[in-house]
Amino acid sequence: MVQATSERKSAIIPIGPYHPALKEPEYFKLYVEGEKVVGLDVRIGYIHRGVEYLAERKTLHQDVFLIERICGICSNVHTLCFCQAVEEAMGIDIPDRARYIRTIIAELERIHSHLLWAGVAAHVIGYDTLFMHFWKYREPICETLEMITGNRQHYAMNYIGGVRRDLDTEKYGERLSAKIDELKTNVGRLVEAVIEDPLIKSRMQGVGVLTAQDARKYCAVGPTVRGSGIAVDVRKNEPYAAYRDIDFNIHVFDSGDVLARTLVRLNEVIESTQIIKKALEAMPEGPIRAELEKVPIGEGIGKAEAPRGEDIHYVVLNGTNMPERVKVRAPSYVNIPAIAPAIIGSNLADAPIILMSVDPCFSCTDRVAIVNRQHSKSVHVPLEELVRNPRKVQNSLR
Amino acid sequence: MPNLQEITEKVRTGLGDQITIYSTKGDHRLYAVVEPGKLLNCIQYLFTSLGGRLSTITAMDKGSRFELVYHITFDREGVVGSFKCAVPKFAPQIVSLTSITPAASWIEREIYDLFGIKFTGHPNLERLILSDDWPEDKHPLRKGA
Repeated sequence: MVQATSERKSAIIPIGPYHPALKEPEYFKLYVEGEKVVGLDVRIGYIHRGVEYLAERKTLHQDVFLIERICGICSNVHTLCFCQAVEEAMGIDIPDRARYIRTIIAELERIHSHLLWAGVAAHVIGYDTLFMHFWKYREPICETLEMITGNRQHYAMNYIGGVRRDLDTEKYGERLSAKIDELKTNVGRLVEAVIEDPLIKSRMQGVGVLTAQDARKYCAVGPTVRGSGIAVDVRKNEPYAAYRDIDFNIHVFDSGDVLARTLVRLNEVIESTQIIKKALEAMPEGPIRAELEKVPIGEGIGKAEAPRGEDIHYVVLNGTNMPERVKVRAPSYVNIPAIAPAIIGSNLADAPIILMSVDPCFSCTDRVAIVNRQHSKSVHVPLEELVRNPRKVQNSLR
Repeated sequence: MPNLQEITEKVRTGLGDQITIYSTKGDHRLYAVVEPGKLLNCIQYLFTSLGGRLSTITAMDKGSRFELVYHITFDREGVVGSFKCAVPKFAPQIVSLTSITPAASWIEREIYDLFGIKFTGHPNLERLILSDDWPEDKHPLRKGA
């Protein structure tokens, strides 16, 4: 990773990254000089479960269930990518109705994921009231997903060849539409409050700037780069599901700071409500799954715009019902290394919000190690402590 | 909207016989083979002149050899070009792409971790996701591992 130029020896007391108090294990190491962050190191692998290894030893249908469990927040998009990859390898065209259902579920997922993130980000800048409000308005979306799919996460909607369950528009269409309208009004009000709030501006404007040049250099994706002026979105560049047939906008801001990335996500929530309504109106009749034929020898790539950016799956088939190789690359894999140019040079107190601003898929986690290069001292703190009392953490490093 | 023809033309013109395009799919997939010695030049060209972005690198154990697939996304044209490179099993190493983009750093470390393929020129080729006390000679994604 991006290393500090000279590192003196420092004693690191191992009290993480696994701990009963943590939500998800992960390890950010911040090198500081005084109050400035001068280096970032990230260790991953604490939640490595050998999914790709397992996927080669299960059938394609079992793999859909396995792949869904890669992530709890963006579970749907992983199965979407996997199914698209297998469908491409098998040369299957899925029915139109399935494309629209996939789109609706994907956009509902985007809404709940962005609202979850918005709440966590609000908490990280110390604005707990806003955190509670965002999560309050997220709740009806989770209830809606449960109404349609039977579950709040891990919806098990995508299936090779189409979708598993139909979306009964007669039974649920009106209720879904009403919930979406309500969300649009509520979140719209919150977004206005966010844009005009001087407190939020001072914590987010000009903080953690990721230049367009760095964003490209690090091959970052999603809202992380759309906040730096780069208009890239898989739904527009390489439309999948029903996105080719639905008219919608992507949101791009130029300033490259935390505020820009925040505004991208909040605007996407509003945009998603429009996409869902258009998809509901235009939903065609027909079957929801294509017939599957014999598995060929072949390869396929599935791409989708997850809430965090481009998700890509590559599947190689060998003529049997078990895949030869399944490769999964989630968006956070390229976005987390891209934090480094954004965070170097900033204040320690801004570090948590900058780390969170790329929406790392181990969201409100974890362990942060802070190394003071000048005094060769280091300390392990929960991220929560850095959020609540940065001055105390700073003092412990003197 | 995907424009496979445009990208295929540009790739053919720019890279000539350094690569061999063996398959295209629909309007958005391009598959080609490239020799390890020409890999760095080809990727550099795809990045600098065609605006390509490294999506990821897939490693596969093909029995007699390893195969590395470099998935380069061309955002404007909506195409993914997958460039395949064979690496012999008795001497599994290839040039690192970190001189072109830092995005190669993690994925090359992961492949080193899970397959044992070395990337020459990588600034810190060490384990990424397996635990520190994992046995040095065991690479789980190799066939028969």
